[in-house]
Amino acid sequence: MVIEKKHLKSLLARESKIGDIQLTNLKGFSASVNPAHPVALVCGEVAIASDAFKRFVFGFRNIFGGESAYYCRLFARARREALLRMIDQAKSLGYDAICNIRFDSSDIGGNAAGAGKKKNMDMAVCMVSGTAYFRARNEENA
Amino acid sequence: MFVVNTDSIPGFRIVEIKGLVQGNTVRAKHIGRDLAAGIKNIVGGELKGYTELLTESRREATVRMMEQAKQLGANAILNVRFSTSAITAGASEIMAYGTAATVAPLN
Repeated sequence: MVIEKKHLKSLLARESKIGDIQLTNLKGFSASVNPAHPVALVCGEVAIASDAFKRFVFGFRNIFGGESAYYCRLFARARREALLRMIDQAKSLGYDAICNIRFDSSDIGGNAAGAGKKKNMDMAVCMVSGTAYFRARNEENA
Repeated sequence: MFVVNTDSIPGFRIVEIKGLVQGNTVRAKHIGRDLAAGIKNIVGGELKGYTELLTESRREATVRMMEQAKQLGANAILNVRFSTSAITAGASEIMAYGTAATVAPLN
């Protein structure tokens, strides 16, 4: 729980520092592209584990049904983290816009595969990909 | 080589579509990393080993896809998508696929 709070805090801090980068999941380029910089594929991925206590609590939730707020937050954290990593990658390459953002999830814990005797692990695995490009500035268009 | 997940590249036109290319990989981390992940599963937090595993798998799949595109004589892969499936605990399967094409600058 301490880890979750710390993570949420760091996410907020880093999200506030993103600055001027345009994010869309449109298939095409939503702003005019500066032809001087070639576009590039950028990716981010993360795996975050649930903790044993929350897993135990979820056991009860599973009996009565309904939303699990913790697992919901866990996946939200994974998506935000992966998105931030992708943005960081784009920014380090000098890009200021990302389009066609896609989210994907994976299963490393072996829950969907039904790993049999091997103990399965609870984790949120998120992968995100997009095309980074350099926007042509309005001043340049005019 | 251009690898993008959009269906066009600004400033370039598509000369010829070479067809679908794909690359996939199934990777696992050594047992030490799996044990560490098991412990992390008690306290919670990021599984750095598995994050690394994903990054490696994605790169491997992308490189294999690019090799296939190179064999077809393409210089770009458009509309790249990643797909994953569940195989077993501690392993990740990533498949990258896209359309190989030759592109040329507009002017």
